[in-house]
Amino acid sequence: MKKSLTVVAFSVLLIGGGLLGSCGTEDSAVSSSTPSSAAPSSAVTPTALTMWMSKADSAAKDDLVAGFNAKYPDTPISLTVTQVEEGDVGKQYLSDPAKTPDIAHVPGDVVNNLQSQSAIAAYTDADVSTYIDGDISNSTLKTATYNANLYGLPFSTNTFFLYYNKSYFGDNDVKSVKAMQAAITANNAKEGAAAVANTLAIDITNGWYVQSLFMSEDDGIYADDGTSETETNIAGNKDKAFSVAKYIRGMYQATTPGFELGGDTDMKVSLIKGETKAFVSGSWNYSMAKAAFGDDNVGMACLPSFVLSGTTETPWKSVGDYKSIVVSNASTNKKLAQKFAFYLVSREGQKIRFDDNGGGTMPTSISLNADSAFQAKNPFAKVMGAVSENGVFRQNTCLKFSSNWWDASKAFVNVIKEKPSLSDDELKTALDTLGTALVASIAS
Amino acid sequence: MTYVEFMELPSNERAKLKFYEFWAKLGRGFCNFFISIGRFFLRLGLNIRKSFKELGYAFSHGDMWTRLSFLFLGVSHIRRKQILKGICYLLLEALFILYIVVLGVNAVKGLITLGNTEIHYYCSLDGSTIATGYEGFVFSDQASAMAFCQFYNAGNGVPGDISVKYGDNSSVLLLFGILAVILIIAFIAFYSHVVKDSIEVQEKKEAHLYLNTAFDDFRELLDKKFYLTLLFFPVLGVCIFTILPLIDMILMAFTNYNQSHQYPASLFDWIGLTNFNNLFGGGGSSGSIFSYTFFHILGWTLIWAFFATFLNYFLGMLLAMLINKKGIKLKKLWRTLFVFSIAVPQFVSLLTWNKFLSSSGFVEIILKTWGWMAQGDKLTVLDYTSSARIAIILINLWIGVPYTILSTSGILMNIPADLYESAQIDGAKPATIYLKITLPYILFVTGPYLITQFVGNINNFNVIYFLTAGAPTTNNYMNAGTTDLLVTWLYKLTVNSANYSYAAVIGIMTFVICAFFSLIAYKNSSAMKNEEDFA
Repeated sequence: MKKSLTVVAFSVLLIGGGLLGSCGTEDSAVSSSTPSSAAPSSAVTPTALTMWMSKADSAAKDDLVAGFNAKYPDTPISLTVTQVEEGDVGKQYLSDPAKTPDIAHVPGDVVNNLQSQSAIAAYTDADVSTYIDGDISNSTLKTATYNANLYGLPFSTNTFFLYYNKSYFGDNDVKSVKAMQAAITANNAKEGAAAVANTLAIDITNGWYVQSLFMSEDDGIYADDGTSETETNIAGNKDKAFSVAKYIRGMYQATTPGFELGGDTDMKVSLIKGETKAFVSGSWNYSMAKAAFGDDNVGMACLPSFVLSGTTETPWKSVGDYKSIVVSNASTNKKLAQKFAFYLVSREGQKIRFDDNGGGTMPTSISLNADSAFQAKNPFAKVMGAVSENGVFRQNTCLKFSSNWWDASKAFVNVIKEKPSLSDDELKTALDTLGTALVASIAS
Repeated sequence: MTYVEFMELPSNERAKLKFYEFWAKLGRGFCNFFISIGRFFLRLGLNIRKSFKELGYAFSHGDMWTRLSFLFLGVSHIRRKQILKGICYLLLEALFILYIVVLGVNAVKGLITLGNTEIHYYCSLDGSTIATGYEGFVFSDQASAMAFCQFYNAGNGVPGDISVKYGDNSSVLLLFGILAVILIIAFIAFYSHVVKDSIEVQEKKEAHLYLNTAFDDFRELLDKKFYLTLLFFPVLGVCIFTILPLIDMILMAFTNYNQSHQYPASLFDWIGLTNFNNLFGGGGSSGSIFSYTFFHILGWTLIWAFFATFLNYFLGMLLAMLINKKGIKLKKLWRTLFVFSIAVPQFVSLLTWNKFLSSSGFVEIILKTWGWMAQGDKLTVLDYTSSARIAIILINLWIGVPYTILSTSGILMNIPADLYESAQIDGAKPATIYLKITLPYILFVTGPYLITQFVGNINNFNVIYFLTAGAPTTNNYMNAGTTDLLVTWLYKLTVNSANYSYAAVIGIMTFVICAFFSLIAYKNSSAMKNEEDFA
């Protein structure tokens, strides 16, 4: 009897342990799945779709579904949203391609990887022409186009620009690095002990900002507009890439004024101390600019031009990252999911998203961006428009550079950071190593 | 050489002899490691041979029913009135045959081929189903399918979209193939057991001995063979959740499962020892950077494990001895303070230290406040390889010393005091007392713990990942930073690069290294050799 009880107890423990172990396996960032409460008014049964979007964007889901169902009453949908932050999407999407959602928001550098894994479906030209009808520029659509097919619908522009203290720099002072340095030198002579130490602050170890320096020079590092998976313009020490590498070295060597080249924390400290009066960042650091300069003194402008060699000014391009909406190849309602995706990037859909998630990024709808009422609500509209017009490099979308660029560029800059006095030959060696790392075979 | 002869040698000769002995032991241990693997397979072979002999005996000495049992398991048992048992055996055989026919053959085929069907695209009207009449238009990539379907039917109102048919999933085929092989091996063992049991029941019946009824067998499972009942589920759990994934991971090392060869875009295939060839320097530029990265990271891993283990151990021991010393007041308070850091979760401590040591962190602020650092300078401890590595080893003291203090405090209190008194009477110096009494005693008890710690530090993911995440990065390594250990590199290869085959190779090498150190160290530990002295 005793042994029977032991066996039963043991089995219960095992089964219970197994059940408990199988529960709660989901990541807490992928937890909420709330069906949309916006029920369509028509008698047609809504088709259930699933979607991954970030927490901030989830606030807009009810309004988006209501808007879609009102516009297309013959094809109503209901939407189950799972909150997945954009940084996690790439890894989770490929962990089980058969269990992907119908639609997902993905960062720009993930789209290429997903399409190369045949995980996402292409949008047909007919649909693009019908639903987009020129409201998103071709150059923007190109950021999610591979092998002549569109795999993502860009819905959000993310880029960076120059924040500056308007009470310190005039509008003309921030047009070039040289002008900024001249302004600082003149002001330091006047202010004496309260000297400004840095021209500007930029996190140069972040691959995004390094990319902007390299791509400001035409054919900076990528060959064939970045589509080549085996070539760079670095191998063999091509002049343009080398001149940019020398400029980065110069940034580390510069003093009076120098550059603040650390991360966000260093940037913040140096702004608070008044050592820096301008920094390079995006809309996510608007509050930091207000805190450092004062609400009325925050100026925003395109990045200043810089001199690579001689006296010629090189326009400093920003790098644009375009988040996209993708539809899974495993979706059983692919056409409807794509129709909903087109709605999401329409003027109406983008406006709902922007209003509900508090803004912070630039929509891709041309008509929405041109709307004066919308511009009045968006403090970044003017500068983002200027950046788009004057110079933005739409982030390279070659598979190897998407995945290899970040660590490789950080390692390259670290070599200069560890030894700013390194010679031209050492710099060339580091540049060659960067070139090799960029095209290092991901797979054989 | 006797102990006396050894002690008569000059000290440099003794040191030289010990040095040669150490390397000779290492070499013998290395050879023994492979000899023991050979012995394992030899024993396995002998057991298989024994089984065949017993089966042969059963066939040659068995009656018609026993021989029928070779085809229909349990028939011999049914004949000897063990009906329920016989039916159970027969049912299990039927289930196995059903499994083999329905799933097993395909699973084994899948294991050998790892899939034949790639992803295909077809013209479609609705994006999901293949358009009628277009079944023959099959494409292997999405771009050409889109180009054809859109161009071919432009303006005709027929398929302007494509649908996808996923191909085989090589990783699933690998897993189910392994499962099939395990089930086949398990059935062969079961078959052998049942057939041997058939001849046994026949012989017992012929000798008019008592044969168990079903009720007797059931009672035995709760009595004499209770261990089988208790172990059944745990063994099943271990097979499913440990052995199966382990074999799966090991076999991945012999494939090209990586970002370019994974479901759904592509199959992966068997490539034999190519990955291991790349590990040891073959395979062109890709292989050489893999090899270069591995040996450099291995070197740092061993150095880190050595310092992390022994610094923690000896410093913890010294602190424990200091607190334990006579005359030290408030012993409990000192012990509590030193072990306080255990109360804080390890990853919290490590993340905090990362912030402290970063540029503009707490340490930099303090140094600048005290004037030990110029205002314009930055703390770059974690930005340089050598300083980052030293910082990691030192911060690990914060994490590891408290545990050593706790474990050695207890041991110190139990060392017989009369040993110390005798030593003092004999005029032994404190260093001699420590080396001849305290240390051997502590080493005897904590020897296995020390080995566990060393192996554990080889695989110490948390400290590296939370403190530096492997930084500073370098382009000389493949997907790794200069403070990465083998285990954190393995993590990056899987999560960041989807390079599962290389990661599996690293996993196997890490196991081999850990097993090697564990076996050699444990065999030579005083816990193994001098058990009687300390009993």
